[in-house]
Amino acid sequence: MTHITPIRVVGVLGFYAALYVVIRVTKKSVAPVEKKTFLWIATAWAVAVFIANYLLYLAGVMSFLPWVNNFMHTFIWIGFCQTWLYLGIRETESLPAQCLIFGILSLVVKYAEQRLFGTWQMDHFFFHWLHGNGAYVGGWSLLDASYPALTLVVARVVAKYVPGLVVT
Amino acid sequence: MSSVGHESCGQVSTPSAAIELLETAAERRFRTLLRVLASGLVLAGLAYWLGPLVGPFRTLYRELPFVSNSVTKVTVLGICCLYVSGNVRDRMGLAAIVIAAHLVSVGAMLVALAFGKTNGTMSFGSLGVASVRTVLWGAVGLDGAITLVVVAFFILARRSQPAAAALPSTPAPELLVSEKRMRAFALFAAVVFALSGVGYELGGLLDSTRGLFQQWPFVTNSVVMSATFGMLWLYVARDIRRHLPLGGVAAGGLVLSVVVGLSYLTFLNTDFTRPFAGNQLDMTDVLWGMVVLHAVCALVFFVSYNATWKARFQLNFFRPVQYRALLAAAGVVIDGPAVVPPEEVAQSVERYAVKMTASRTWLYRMAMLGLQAHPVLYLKPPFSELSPRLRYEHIRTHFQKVKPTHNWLLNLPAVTIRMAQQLCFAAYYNDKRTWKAIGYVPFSERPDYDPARRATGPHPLTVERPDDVAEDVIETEICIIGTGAGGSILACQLAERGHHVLMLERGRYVEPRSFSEDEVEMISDLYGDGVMQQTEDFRFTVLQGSCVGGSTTVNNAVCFDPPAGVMARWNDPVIHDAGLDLDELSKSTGAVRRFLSVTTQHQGLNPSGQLYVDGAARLGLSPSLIQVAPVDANIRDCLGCGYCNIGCAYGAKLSMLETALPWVQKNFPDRVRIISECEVQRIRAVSGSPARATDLRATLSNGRRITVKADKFIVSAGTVASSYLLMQSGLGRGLPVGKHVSFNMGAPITAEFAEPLDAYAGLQISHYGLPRALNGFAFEVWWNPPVSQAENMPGWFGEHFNNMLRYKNMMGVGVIVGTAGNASIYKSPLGGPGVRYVPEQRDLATLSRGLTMLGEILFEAGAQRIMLNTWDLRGAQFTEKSQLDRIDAVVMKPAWMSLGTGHPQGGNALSRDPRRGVVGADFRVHGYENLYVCDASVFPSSLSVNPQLTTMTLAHYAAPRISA
Repeated sequence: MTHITPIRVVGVLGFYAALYVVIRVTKKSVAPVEKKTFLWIATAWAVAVFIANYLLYLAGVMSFLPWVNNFMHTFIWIGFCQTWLYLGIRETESLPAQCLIFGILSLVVKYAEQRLFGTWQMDHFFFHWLHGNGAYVGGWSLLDASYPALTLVVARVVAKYVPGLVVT
Repeated sequence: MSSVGHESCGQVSTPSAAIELLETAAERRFRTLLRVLASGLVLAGLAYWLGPLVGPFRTLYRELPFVSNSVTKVTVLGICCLYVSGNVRDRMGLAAIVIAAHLVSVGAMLVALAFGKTNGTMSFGSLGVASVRTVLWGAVGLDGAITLVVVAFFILARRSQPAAAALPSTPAPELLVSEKRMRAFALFAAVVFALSGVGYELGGLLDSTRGLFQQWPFVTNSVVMSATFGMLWLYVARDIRRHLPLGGVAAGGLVLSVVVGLSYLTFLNTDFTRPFAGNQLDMTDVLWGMVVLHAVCALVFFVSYNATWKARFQLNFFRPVQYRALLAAAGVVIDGPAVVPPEEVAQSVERYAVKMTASRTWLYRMAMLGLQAHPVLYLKPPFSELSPRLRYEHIRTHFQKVKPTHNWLLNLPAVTIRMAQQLCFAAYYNDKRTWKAIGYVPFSERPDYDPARRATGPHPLTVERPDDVAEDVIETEICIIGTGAGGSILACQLAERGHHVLMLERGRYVEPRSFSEDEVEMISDLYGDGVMQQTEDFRFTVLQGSCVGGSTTVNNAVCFDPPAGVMARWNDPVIHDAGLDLDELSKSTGAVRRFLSVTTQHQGLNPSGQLYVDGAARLGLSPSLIQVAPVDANIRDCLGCGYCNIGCAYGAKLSMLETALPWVQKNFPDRVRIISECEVQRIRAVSGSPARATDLRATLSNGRRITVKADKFIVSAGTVASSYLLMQSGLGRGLPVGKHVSFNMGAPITAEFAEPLDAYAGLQISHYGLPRALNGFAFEVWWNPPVSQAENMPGWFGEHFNNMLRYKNMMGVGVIVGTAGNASIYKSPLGGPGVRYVPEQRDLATLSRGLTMLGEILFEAGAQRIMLNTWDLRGAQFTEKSQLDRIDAVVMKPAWMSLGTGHPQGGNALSRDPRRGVVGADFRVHGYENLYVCDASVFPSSLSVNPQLTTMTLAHYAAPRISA
């Protein structure tokens, strides 16, 4: 059962902020030349995942995320924090390392939201392929680990049509 | 001294007396027996280990701690047998331990039969049940039989050994503190294990404890394990310096015990108890206790063990296990009456390795580790534990005799051996004590040495080293990556046009006054990673300098005008469509020649050059068919020191370091800033039509990262690095970046003459030969100081040693062939660039023609013997002209040839067509507004002659286009 209260929202925000402090170690600031790239990636991911979370719930493969949780998770965590992280590590870490970092952080955030909001509660992953809540949270975290690879590929394609993007 | 392969090709040298340690037949048989025994014991160890986990006999293996001890016992004994088999004569003491262990086993079982309760049963699964007595008697029989056979072979081997020569007694060297500590630990361990062995035996005999020690066969195995460890540690303590490696075997056994115990704890149900001294012992606790105890012992040992080796050999680079492999290799690859003992060779390698600036020096460590471990794959002890003879055989089998291939994985064993060889040669021949024997005199001791010409004062060039760089973000007008031939000329031209230029150089700034005669030191300082660069299959060396001045600081300064035929092909719209203005290019060539004072060399020539000239003339080849002459070079008043490739300390070689860079800073102060030890990681660009490079990220050698923003970026980092940088940055996608790379592939002939030539005392490359018809190859007379020549000298073992003894009677002439553009640069999984190249048959055929013609010239000049550079001299040395028709057969097996280049070209080809080239006629990368490439990587095809003048010409030509 979900419990979204103001205190818990602040708690989750605080958790994001703590992670952001760690993320900033990889990148102190977004260079002016990268701002456009940052906005494109952040917006694309946030909007896409926000919608996808709901559609996947309707399809029965995801538990329901109340819109507050969904918004915070997609726009603040994925859009802002993860994009910042991506720009910070894409030039210094190998692709497998990037994916590993993203997968681990995704897992941590999901468990934190589960603890505070009571969300991410499902007892199987993807049409009962794997059972247990651990499989559910772990499975989606594993998919989230594909963020760096997907972003790399899509950004390269988009850069052919959109000027001003810094892609690797 | 072993015989030299002066006889006809096909003969391989035999090891010298230094290596030869003839085994007697009895020792050979003993060795074979021990290897068979080792196989059996290791298999038995595996069976013990897996027994409780899988298979039909799981019920037999109930008492897991003792089963684990059984695994350790048989495996350690098996490894001891392997160690003895590697060097029977020196390891008879260890053989005695193996025999003693079997005697202890028989004894322990007899005691158990006599005094212990052996009326229990042991279940063999579906095979039924057997009494403990029956099993024990069976084991007594087996161990007894093994003991008798081993003793018999031992005695026969011992009797067959020649009596050891009475050596004058010398006082044993004083042990170091760490060695004394290690010896104390060994003695302590010996006592503890001896007592634990007794404890295991008593445990099964006493009523209060026998509840735990139920399965006698495994209990007696535990007795033997402890006894073996005890004897091993005692043996180690007896002569800590000689026997310390065996401590590794004992500790390895402890580690194995830990691994086995953990596997049982993980996969088996250990929730049961056994009575012991009135209590119930939980089996899980017992196993954990054993695992922890053995782990702590192993850890304490390894820390002490490593500290002992490090203290003894002053190790800072190699780990002890790697160093031992190196030391063992040094005793074999230098096969002759060496004036520098192997211990000192290995020590020198360690000293040099610490100072190396290359980032891939970890490859040396991995190679030594690989060399050490490789024999184990063939059921032999590690490389350093083999006798000198067996080490020699191992190298011959896995290097000399191995079928050459372009498969990198199959080449790995040969590569490890090759690296060991190269390291040993570098250390040995860099030692002054070897020079007298080979007839080499360093320049500072020659009559024509002029100390007044030596650079002594500070060089008139301002270069910032990492600690001098204050900013994290640098803004400039034009940033040039690389300070070599292309980058430096560009800097001069652009500064002259009023631009402000920042030059970033990955390598070090070494002032000419610091250039020394120490080859190894200078190679480390001036080449960096460029000295270790090889193709993917390790068969082709791509040598490049990495220092301020780039390859011009370390090249031979040979200058050839851009060949007209090649330029025409570059400009051909069908072939490359480079779009060059050839008239303007010609003017640039003239300007660069004047700027660098390029002249035909007549001073300080290689003394052997005239032999080549005379040979070609007498054969009637020159001047009608081959243009033979001294080279044109950017060298003035050469003293003939012969150190072109390790930096000219006399101001004669007019490299970029000596000319262009000081000139531009003097004439245009504050316009050119140079930062050394700064490696550019990536250039960033924003997308668009065209895209625009915005900044680059670089790392200084002190770890700091800087950002450089510029209006224009010019990549001039050399063929390999330029392509790699573009790939790493994700730039030029869709363009053939890193493709169509070519080389001036080089293969020398080494020729021996009756009279001394002293070819080292002169310009390293002094004469050339260029066929007047387009034959596709060129000749260059060439020789090296001792270390470089040793790395290139044909032959192995005694052949190599004896060839080096004839150093002063030898000369070299290289054939260089401009290859097809079938090589490529890629991002190596090991980090950094990789080079993929297999010579095409057509290029090899050209090489073969060139080598054959050259062979004729050298025989005509009076050579007694000529040798090709192959991995093995078999079939590659010739004593008569009539034998030269066999050259083709050798050359057409490219994996057999030792090929290399100092002239990589291409990868970012010039072409107006983005499908065929990376940069256009203005040297701008297609699709980018402000990103340029200008170095040898823009060559659409190989020049077939030395490329530096063409590189500089293109830079001079490109400058106004870039400036616009």
